[in-house]
Amino acid sequence: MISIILSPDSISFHADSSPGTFDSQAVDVTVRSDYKDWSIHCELISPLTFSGSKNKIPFERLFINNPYTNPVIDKGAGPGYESMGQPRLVAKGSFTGPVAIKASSLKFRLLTTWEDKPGTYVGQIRFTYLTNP
Amino acid sequence: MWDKSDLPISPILKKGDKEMKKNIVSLFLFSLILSTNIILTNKLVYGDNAHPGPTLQVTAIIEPCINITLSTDAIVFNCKGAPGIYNADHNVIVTVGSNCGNWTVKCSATPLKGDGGTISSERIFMKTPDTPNRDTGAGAGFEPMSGEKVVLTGSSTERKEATLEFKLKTTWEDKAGTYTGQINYTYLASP
Repeated sequence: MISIILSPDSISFHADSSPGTFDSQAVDVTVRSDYKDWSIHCELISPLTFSGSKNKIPFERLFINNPYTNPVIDKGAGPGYESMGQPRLVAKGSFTGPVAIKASSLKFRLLTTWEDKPGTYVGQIRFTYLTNP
Repeated sequence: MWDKSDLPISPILKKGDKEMKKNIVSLFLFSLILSTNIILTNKLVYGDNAHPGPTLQVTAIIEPCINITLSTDAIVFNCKGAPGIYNADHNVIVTVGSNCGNWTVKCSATPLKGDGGTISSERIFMKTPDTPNRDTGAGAGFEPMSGEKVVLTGSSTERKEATLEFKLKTTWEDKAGTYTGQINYTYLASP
């Protein structure tokens, strides 16, 4: 059995100035696992979408930083931030015993442009775990 | 071995319905290929031991934003001769960036005040790329700055600019001295 808790379970970006990068709250990933080996990946399910319109912010402009991203790489949102254009490894470990452990801390960053129309965009990041008994 | 003839085709299909039968078979084959691809893709990405976990809700709030910059924050009219029309020492380049669907930048001038009195804003003239090419006393294209004047309009854009030229009309009644005032820029935007 494995239990994964995200804290908080939602994040928000507030782009209140000229286009650039904006950070959300950090997300802690807490895990309790009976499995010998496990890993957790995350991916953006769909582009951030402006409700009631065709406007979207593509996957590539949402970035993640965690212990497994390359600290040197800079894809336009600062060193260590990699785009959510593909699934990302966010944590891995082994048997934790009965006590849950903080497995990772995730930072998210959004890159906005002048073409992003004002409004509220929503999306979901899905977490998936892989186990090896 | 699977064969097309195994498909349960309704007996009401007759000769004339051959085309429809063909379409149903094609649709079935397409769905089969699509589902196989989805399963294979998931397996390629995560392997056999992948399980769904929690979901993180993401919200991004983009506020309306407009950024106006001026190439200079002061212009001077050096009126050293007889009364007449004098050019400002600089043109002003207004640059606007905005994520709003529609926006308008306007400007208005205050009267110039000095020890010798006041020069009304109607004697300050401005020319933009969009002002009509008529002469209202200070040369073609220059309009008196009475009230608000539109400087630039646009839609969501990284950068749009306009060059503004200014002139001042002096009279014998303007006493010698230094007069100062302001040209204020405002904007109106809709998402």
